[in-house]
This record gives sequence, structure tokens and C-alpha cells, in this order.
Amino acid sequence: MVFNSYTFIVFFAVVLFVHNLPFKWTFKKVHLLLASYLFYAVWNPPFILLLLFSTFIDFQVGKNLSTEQNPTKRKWWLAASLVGNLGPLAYFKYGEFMLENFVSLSSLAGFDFHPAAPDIILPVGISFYTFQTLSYSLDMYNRKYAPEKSFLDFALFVTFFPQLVAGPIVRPDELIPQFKSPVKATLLQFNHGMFLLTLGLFMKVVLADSLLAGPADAVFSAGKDMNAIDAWMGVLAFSGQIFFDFGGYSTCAIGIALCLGFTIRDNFFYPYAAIGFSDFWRRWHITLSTWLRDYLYIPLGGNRKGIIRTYINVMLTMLIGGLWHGANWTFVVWGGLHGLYLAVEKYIQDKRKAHSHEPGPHPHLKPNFAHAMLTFFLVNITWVFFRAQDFTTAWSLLKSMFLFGNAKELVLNYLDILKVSVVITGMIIVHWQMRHKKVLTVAESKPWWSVGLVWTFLLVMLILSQESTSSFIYFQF
Amino acid sequence: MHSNNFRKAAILVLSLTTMLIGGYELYLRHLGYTISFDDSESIFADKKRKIYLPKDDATVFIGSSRIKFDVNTELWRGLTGETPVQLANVGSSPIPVLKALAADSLFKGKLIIDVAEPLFFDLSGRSFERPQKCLDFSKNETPAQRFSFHINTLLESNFVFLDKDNFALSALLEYLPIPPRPGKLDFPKYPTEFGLMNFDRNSSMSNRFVDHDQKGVKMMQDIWMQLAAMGAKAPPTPEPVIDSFIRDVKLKTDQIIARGGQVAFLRPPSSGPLWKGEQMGFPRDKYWEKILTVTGCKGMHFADYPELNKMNCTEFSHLRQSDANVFTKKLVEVLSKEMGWKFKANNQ
Repeated sequence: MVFNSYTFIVFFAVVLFVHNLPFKWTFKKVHLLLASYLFYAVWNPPFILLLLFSTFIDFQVGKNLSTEQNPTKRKWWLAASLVGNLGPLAYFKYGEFMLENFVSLSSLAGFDFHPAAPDIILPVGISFYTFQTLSYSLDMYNRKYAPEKSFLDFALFVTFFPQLVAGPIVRPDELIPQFKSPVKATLLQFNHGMFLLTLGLFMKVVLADSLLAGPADAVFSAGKDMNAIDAWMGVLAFSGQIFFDFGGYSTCAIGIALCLGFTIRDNFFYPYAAIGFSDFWRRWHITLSTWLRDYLYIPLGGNRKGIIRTYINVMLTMLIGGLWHGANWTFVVWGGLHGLYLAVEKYIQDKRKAHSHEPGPHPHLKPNFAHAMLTFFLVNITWVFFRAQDFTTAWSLLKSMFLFGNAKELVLNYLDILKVSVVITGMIIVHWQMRHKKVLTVAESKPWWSVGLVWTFLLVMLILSQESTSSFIYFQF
Repeated sequence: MHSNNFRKAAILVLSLTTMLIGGYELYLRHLGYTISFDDSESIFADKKRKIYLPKDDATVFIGSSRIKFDVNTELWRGLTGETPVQLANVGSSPIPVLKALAADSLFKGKLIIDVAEPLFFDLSGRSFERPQKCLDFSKNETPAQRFSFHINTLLESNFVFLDKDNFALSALLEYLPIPPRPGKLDFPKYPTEFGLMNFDRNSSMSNRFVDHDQKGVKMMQDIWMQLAAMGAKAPPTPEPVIDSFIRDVKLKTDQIIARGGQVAFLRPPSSGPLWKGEQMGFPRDKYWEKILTVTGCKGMHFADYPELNKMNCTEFSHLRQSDANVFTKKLVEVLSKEMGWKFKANNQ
């Protein structure tokens, strides 16, 4: 089920109604759990089994890891969780990709191997809930906290519908404690939640789908070199689309949870106002970048094993982060480019630090709009690989963007160019103005009628856009 | 802001939104616009589920916009006593849907295939995209999407402004006075009342459009002629390729007939320079007659019937509603009298 659908409006109204009835807390949690399964099942019912499998495995592994003292056996239990979670992910998400690469390698080695093309359906959100449950097993292995005793609370943590299929990737210690005592939204929380839900849907439906998806799709599916303006407009449109689509989903998820009385941490914080790439990854898909930092980069050694290992660890983390997004080498290149940017940034910062005559801590760059725009420019280059279906398309687009060629082919009309220019300019201004602020804090500081007018604008545009059922881009990851 | 203030904001939102959306709806009704459904993948999927009705209970139509405009489904229902299942797609070839029906062993019904030659014989694949998208959606439609469709239908049946092609934000933006980009071929937005669609997926032009919107009619004529000119510039498809394509069509129609189904071809009217161009580009003996000869199916060509031949498609390609009624009656008559098709109404 997608948030931008009539089905969800009906579903959410019923869930809210039941959640606010004077039932026992356990009953309400069972209701939320069943609602979450229903939320997932109306997409493809059989895949509920995968979700249940992941839940059972990690609950049991967590229990065993907490009681087992033998280090070898503890490793085996952890391995069971890794296989149980990453196995289905590898099969469903990377099965075809691995087979394709195997065939290519066989062909290079001179073997003529033609296996039947597998027809694997990717279970929606598998990458998200796999990482979420895996974090529990890894935390249990590291004895970060006591194991969860209530299967109901654990299952609800795994399946909690607002963030089940596309995050934010919530940690056990953030969500499970909220299930321990009765939770009901206050009127202020409810209003905040509805405001965020409207804002998130506006970002997704109006900005991403109605205004930016068309130009982005036209440019990336053109299949030919084109005029530089068109190429840039297409890439800028996609950079806006992916932010509004995924940021919109996260904002909806946070708003929906808040309407029920639960708090979920932010996933985006005005990423296009980032100054540098460390800053970008503190603002873009925050719950994934912190997950990768805590469960991959730090266990690899982080920056504790010398400068060369630090660079290697950064690169490995970003390459795996790229592959997490999709089973295609273009995603690996996207991750690699970000790894390269981070490595270069670190190198420059270390050099500056070494040459700095000022005593005290590392000299930070002052917030400078030009630096933010340079970061935005470089991020846009990475989006080419993220969105392009293959390297031919990516290369063709890069050639067009940087005038390596004489292609004059026009893909977009003036209306498309106008839409992209207005939305992207507005997005950059808002990100820069809001780079240290939270939207609810800003809303609270304004008079009620001005919040009402802005909220009305969002809702009216949402209703007028009439884009009600398109899927979120990150569902495929 | 305190909770009381946010509550005030929420009340303002509900009041203003109701007023603005309600005002927009009343304004559109005041201008004389009526309910028109979006031609979405969901509504296609809804109709496609009806292909499994018994053979004596439904007829499936496939093809392009011509059969969508020219066959009045409501009248068809009245004349035949059966359900019309409209699976044609605007600007599209019938081939993807024909292939899907042929491959579906459960489909054993009556099928009418619209032959608008420029689209029927377009082997570039462009005219396959829309029907293929609809078929894919139909195959993969989730329970949630189906539930949303039913709610959407309820809303679309009651609100004029819920017409994505004409009154949604993206459509409204197209009214902005922005000049065309030199060197970029773009077709203008179709006039609002050119393609009204009912819940059967039957399209029509409003009488107001046909009789009074001369600018809109001229725009549509120019669009068809521009498309025809583009088609004429394309290199001609070699005859062996056409023959092979028709043989492939025969394989599909044979599959349906072998299961007890019935198939007929239909050439709806076109007029003026468009009809002349189509006759030149697709000579009847090399295309229409060949389809009937190779497949062994019967067909109805509008030019063979004086009352249809004299019809004038105002914008060259589609019949106005009153002519569509005449055309529909003739089609039922030809199918039952000349081709021997049995309809429920005939048996009562």
C-alpha cells in the first residue's frame, strides 16, 4: 500500500479510530501489528511469510545471543541471523544480477552458458526491513542492550507500517521502548502529524510526480545525445524528484507515526544545503548512513587503523551502500563516486589542518553558499549514474552535459524547463534558509493563520494534482 | 505555537480547502463541463476482468481511439443485451491486446478489432507502449490498487474537476502562455471536450466541441494531418514484412477461434484529406483485403455502406455522437445479419 492512495486514506482512518478507542494497550498493539501485516499484504500477500521469517529468526537469535557465553557459538548464532536475513535479500534482490555477471564472466572465459532468465519479484522494502532486523541481531551480539522479551513488541518493531517499506530505518532502542507503555497522540502531536503527512504527500505527489518526473523521465529515456540545457534540466529534475520522493515518504512516515503518538527520527535534513560530502551524508538518508557507519564502517576499523585503511573503509562502505540501492553496476559507481568525494574531502581537510597555524580544533569551513552549490553540482553528477539504466545512457548524458559532442537534439519543451527551473531554484532556497531549522519549529513560530494558509496551499495543490497511485522510487530498493 | 493555535490552523485549512475545491467544482459545472473518467490503467484492468464473461454475454473491442469514439457502448448494450468490453487505447495498435487475448486460454468470447491502418500496421513499437503498459498493470495489479480504483470511481463519478487530462495541476499548467520551443516538435494540449470518456471507456466529443469550437476542431485536424505527414515521411514497410505481420495476426485470431471465439475486423470512418492520405498510404487491396483473406475472418469497412460512407468526421478521424449511434447500429446489424453473430437480444 502506498501513502498516496485512496486505500491508504481509508486504512489510516480505520487504524486511527481503533487506536484511539479505550481498549487495553496489548489489544492496541495487536491491532497495530495486524494493520501492519495488512498494509504489506495488500501489495503481495505471500511475501508476508518473508517478513515473518525475518522476525522469528532475529527474535530467536537475539535471545540465544544474550544467554550464550561461548564466543564460537555466539558467532554461529550471528551467522544464522546474517544468512537468514541477507540470504533472501541476496536471492530476491541480487539473484538476477549475480546470474548476469556469472554469464558474462563465463562468456569471457570462453564458456557459452545460457541459463533460463529467472523471473524474480523483488519483495517491496526488503532492503529496509532486513537492515532494521539485522541491527537488532548485531546489537545483541555486541551486548548493547538486553534482548526483547515480548515477541509482540519485537514483531511490531519489525513491521510497524509507517516505516516498514521505505524507512526511516529505525533502531530497536528507538522504537521498542515506545511500545512498552500506552501511547496516544496529543492534539498537538496529531496536528503536527497531519501537517507533516500533508507536507510529505505534497513533496511526493505535487513536486516529484506532477512537476519533475516527466522531464526527468524524458531525458533519461531519450536514448540519444542531446542539447546541454536539456541534459542538465533532466539531471536537476531527477535530483529534485529523488529528494521529494524519498524525503516525502520519510516525512509522511514520521507524520503518520506522530498521529498515532510515536516518534521516528528524521531521515533528511535539507541535504542540498550540505557543505561538503560528510555534511551531505549527515543530511541525506540519515538512517541508512548512520546504519552503514555503525554496522559497517566502524567494524571495518573506521579511522582507527591508519590513513590508508580509513580511505579503504570509506570506499568500501560507500560501494556497499551503492549496491544496497540496486542490483546494477551503475549503483556501485554512484556509491564509488561518493566514496571518492568523501576521500578527497578528507584529504583536503587533513592537509588544511596540517597547514593551519591557528591553534585549536579543526578549522571548519564557514557556511558558504558557493561551497553548497559546488557540493550540489558534484552530487548531480552522481545522480546520472543512479538514475541511468545503463552506462551507455549515463555516458551519453555526461557527454551532453559537458558539451563533449555537438548534439543539438531537444528533448524538453519550455514548460518542462520552466517547471524544473522554478522547483529546483525554490528547493535550493528553502534548503539553504532552513539548513539549521526544523519545519515544525518554524511552523510553531509563525501566526496560526499563516500556517493555515501554507497548509491549505499544500492540500489544495495535492488534491488538484490528481496523481494518486504512483509508487515511491525507494520501494524498489 | 500552542495546540490551540495549531487547531485553529487546521480548522482554517479544512474550511478554505472545502471552499476552494468546492468553488472550482461549481465553476467547472457552471462552464458546462460534465463528468469524464480518466483513461487510466486501472479502468483498463477493470474492463479486462470482464473478458471472461460467457461468449453470449460480452463482446471485446480492441484497437485505437476510433473504435473508442465510434462505437457507443451504451447503445451497444441496449441493442445486443450484452456487455461491451472496451479495451482499445488511444493512439495505439490492437496487437499487444490481441496477443494477450490469444495467449489467454480462458478467453473464448467475441472480439472486434479496429483497423486504423497507420496504427495497426505501425511496427515501430511506439504504438504498442500504451496497451502494453495497461496489460502489465492488469497482470500485476495489487489488491490495494484495486480498492483504490473503486474509491476513485466513486469520486470521479461525482466530481467534474477529477479529470486529470483537463483539470489537474499538470493540465492547468499547459494553459500558460508559453511559446513552443523552436526545433522541438510538440503537440498542443487537446481541447477539453474532445475526449470525454464514460465508465465503459467509450470516448466522445461533446456537441459543443464539434459544433462550436472551430478553433479546437481545426487544431485536431492539424494534429492528425501532422501525424499523417510524419508517417508518410517514414520509409515504407517492405511487403514481405507486412505479409509476415498479417500471418502473425492470423495465428492469434486462429488461436481464439479454435477455442470457440469469434473475431471480426472493423474499419471505422475517417474523412477529408486524412482519409485520402490513408487510402494512398495503405491501399485497401494490399492491407484491409489482405487481412481478411489471410485470417479468414470477416470484416466491416465503412466505405462499403453508403450510409456510413457519407458520414463526415468533423476533425477527420472520429465520429460525432449522433453518427456514432448510426455506426453502432449498423455494426450490430452487419455482425448479426452478414456475419451470423448471435446476440442475447436476438434470442429473446
